[in-house]
Amino acid sequence: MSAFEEVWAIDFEYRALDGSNPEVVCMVAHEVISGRRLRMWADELTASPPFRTDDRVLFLSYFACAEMSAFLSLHWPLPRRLLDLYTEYRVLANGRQAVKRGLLDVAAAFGLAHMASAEKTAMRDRILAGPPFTPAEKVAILNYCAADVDLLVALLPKMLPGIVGREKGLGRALFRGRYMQAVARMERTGIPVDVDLLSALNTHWNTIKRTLIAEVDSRYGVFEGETFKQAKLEALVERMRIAWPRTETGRLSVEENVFREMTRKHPELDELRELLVTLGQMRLFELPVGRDGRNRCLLSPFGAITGRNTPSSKKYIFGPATWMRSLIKPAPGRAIAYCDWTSQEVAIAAVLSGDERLLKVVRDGDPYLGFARLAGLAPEDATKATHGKVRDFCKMLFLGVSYGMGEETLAGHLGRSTAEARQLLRLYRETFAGLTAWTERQCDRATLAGRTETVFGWPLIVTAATKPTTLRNFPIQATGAEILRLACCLATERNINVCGPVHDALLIEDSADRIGRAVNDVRECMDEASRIVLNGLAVKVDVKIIRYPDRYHDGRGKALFEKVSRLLGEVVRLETA
Amino acid sequence: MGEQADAAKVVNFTKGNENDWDPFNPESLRAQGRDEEIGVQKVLLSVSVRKPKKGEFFRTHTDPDMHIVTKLYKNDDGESFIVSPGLQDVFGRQVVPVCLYFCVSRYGDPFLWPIRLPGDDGRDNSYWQTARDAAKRAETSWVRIEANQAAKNYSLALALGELPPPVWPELPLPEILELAFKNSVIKNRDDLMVKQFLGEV
Repeated sequence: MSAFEEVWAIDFEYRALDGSNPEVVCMVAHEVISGRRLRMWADELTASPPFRTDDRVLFLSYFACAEMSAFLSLHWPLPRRLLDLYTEYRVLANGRQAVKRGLLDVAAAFGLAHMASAEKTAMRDRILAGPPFTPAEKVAILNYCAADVDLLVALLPKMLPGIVGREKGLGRALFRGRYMQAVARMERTGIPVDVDLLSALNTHWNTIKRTLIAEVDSRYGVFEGETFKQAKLEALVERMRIAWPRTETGRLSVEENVFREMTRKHPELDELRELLVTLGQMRLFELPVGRDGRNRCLLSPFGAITGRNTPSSKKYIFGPATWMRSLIKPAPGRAIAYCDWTSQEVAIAAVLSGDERLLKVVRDGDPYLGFARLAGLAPEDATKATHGKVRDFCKMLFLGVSYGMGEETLAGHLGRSTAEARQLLRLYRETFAGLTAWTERQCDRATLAGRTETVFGWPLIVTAATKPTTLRNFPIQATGAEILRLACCLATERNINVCGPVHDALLIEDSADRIGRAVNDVRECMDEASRIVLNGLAVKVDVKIIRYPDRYHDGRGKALFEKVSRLLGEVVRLETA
Repeated sequence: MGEQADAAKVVNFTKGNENDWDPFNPESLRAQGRDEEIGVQKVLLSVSVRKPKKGEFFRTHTDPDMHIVTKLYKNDDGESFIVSPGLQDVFGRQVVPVCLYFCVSRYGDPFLWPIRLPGDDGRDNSYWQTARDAAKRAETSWVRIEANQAAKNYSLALALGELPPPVWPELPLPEILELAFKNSVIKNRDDLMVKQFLGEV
C-alpha cells in the first residue's frame, strides 16, 4: 500500500509579463495511479481545484514555484505534499561540472525522448503573445503542456527510487517542495518600489549620467567624457599604490568580482565601483516592475551550489548597484522591515564545529569583539564604540578564514603586513582550535566520501574539480541557506508578507500600524528556523523598520543615491524653468 | 502507457511511516550524527632536532622517559648526528654529551632540543645551565628563550594568560628518535661524514 492515494503530475502554461504576476492560460494534470487526465483552459479553472490537495495526495512538478504561483492566483490551497523534480535533480547533480537544469536536459540525462527545444520556444512565444487563441492553438498549447506532464510521469520511476533510497529522502524532498511554495508566495508579493522616482530617473538618465560621471570621476580621473579608460585606471592604481590583479595579457582586470574585491580592501573606491556597475547595465533600470509598483522576478531557488537563491543580479532590486536599493519604498500607509541574522555565519561555524570558545563568544552576542578579547587584541571591557576598528578587523579576519584566505590575501584585506596576517591567522586558529580541527576534518571527510551534505540533505558532490575553498565554505553557506529556507516557509505560511529573501535577511511588509506585530512574528519564525537547524541556537535578529514616506537605504550606496537625487532635482528644475 | 504503469508501480516505494517524510516536521528530517566513520589520522613523518626558534613559545614533555641523555656530533652546517659508540673516538671532543628534550611549539610542531651537559671534564657554562633551567620551566608553562649575549646566558619569558595545553604526538621516544635521526646516524668508518671529518673527501 503506497503512502499516497493519488499522485498528480501537473503543469500550467501562463503569461508572465515583466514584474507582474503570471496569468494562467491552461493546466494539464495527470493522476499516475488511475491514469486520469485533466486538460483545462483558464476559463474552466474554478475557485476550487479539480483534485484533492491533502496529505495523502502527492503532486509532481518541475520548478514548482511557477505552478504554485498559478495555484495562488486561482486561490487554490497549496498541495500539502509537493515533489519538485527540479530540486531533486539538483540534489542528484550538485557539484558536478556543467550540468544543465532544464526539464528537457533532465529528460535527456535519463534517456527519455522529448520535444525539440526550438519547438518549445515557439510555443512559449505564442503563449506570451497572448489571446485571442484559435481553437487549434488551444489544442496545440494543451498538447504542449501535456508533453511536459508526460515527461514528469516518465521521470518519476527514474528518479523516485533514488529519492526514497536516500536517508529520509522523501521527507527532505518534500521539505524542499515546501520551500518552492514559499518562493511562489514571495515572488507574488514582490518588493515595493518608488515608481515615480524610477520613472523620473529613466526619463532623465542620459542627462544625469553625464554630470554624475563628471562628479564621481573628479575623485578618480578614470573617465574621458563618458568613456571609462583603462590607461587612466592604471594611473589611479599607481597613484594609490594598489596591487591590482591583472589579466593574462597584463591589463588591469576590471571584472565585477575583481572590483568588488578591491573595493572591500579600499573602500574609497566604492563610489567608482557603484558608478561602473550602474553604467554597465544595458539600460539603467532593467528592473521588472509590475503595474502595482512592485519589483518581481524569479528568485531562482536552489540555484547556487550552496542551495542559496540566485535571482538575476539585474532583475532583483538587491542585485544591481547598491544605491538603487534606495528605490525600495513602502506605499502610503505601509511600512517595510529588513530583518537580518547578525553574525549568522559565525554562529553556524560554532554549532557545526562544536567549538566551545566560539560558541561562548557567539552566545555573548558579539563574536568579533569576543575573539579580540580572547586573543588579547582588546581589553575585557571593550565595546563596539570603544574598539570599533579592532572589531572590524576581527570581522574581516573571521570572514577571510572562512573563505580559506591565505596569509598574503588576508594581509591585503586587512591592510597589514604578511607577517602580521600570519600571526593573526595563528592566533585565530589557536583560539578556535576546535573550529580549525573541524574544518580540516570535514574537508577530509568530504574528499574521502566524495560528498558532504547539510542537516537536511542538501549535498555537495566532491569531484577533482571541487575547489578547497568551496569545500571549506560549503557547510557554513549551505546551512545558512537551510535556515533561510525554513524561515521563509514559516513566515509565508503564517501569512507574513515576505517581499523577498536577501542572503541572510528577510524583507517584510505590512501596514504602518501593524509592522511592529509583523516584525515580532517574523522574528519568531527566524528564531524557530535557526533553532531547528542549529540544534537549539537562535541567532540574533536585527531589524530596521522603514515607514512611508521614508525609503530603504543601504549604507554603502547612500552617498551615490543622494548625489543622483540631487542631480535629478537640478535637471527637473532646469526643465521646469 | 508503459511509462504510466512504471510510474504507478514506483509509487509503492513511498511506503513507510508518515513521520519519516512529513515536510512540516523538519525536526524529524535532521541528519543524525553519523559522519564519524570517515576521517583521517595525521602521521608524523619527521621530527626536527633544533633549539627553540627566536620568539617561539614551547613546552617540554613532563615524562622523564620522553627525554634522553646521549652524545651527538654537530657538523659545520649545524646538523646533529648520533655516532655509534665505536666511532665516537674518531670525532674526539666534537662528540658532546647532550640531553634531548622532547618539545612542542605553540603551533604544534614537535622537536627535540639538544641541551649540552657538562663534559667528562665537568666543564659547564651559563648558556647550558640556563637552557636546562628553561627546559624544566617549560614542563609546566609556555616559555620562550632569548640568548643574552652580554650575560652569556638565556633569558626566559613565561607566557601569561590562559593558553591551551600542549598537544603531543602519541608516539614513544624510540619512534620519535627514529623520525628525528633516520638519516643522521653515523654507523661505520665508510660513512661520508667520517671521511669528511677526517679530510678524506
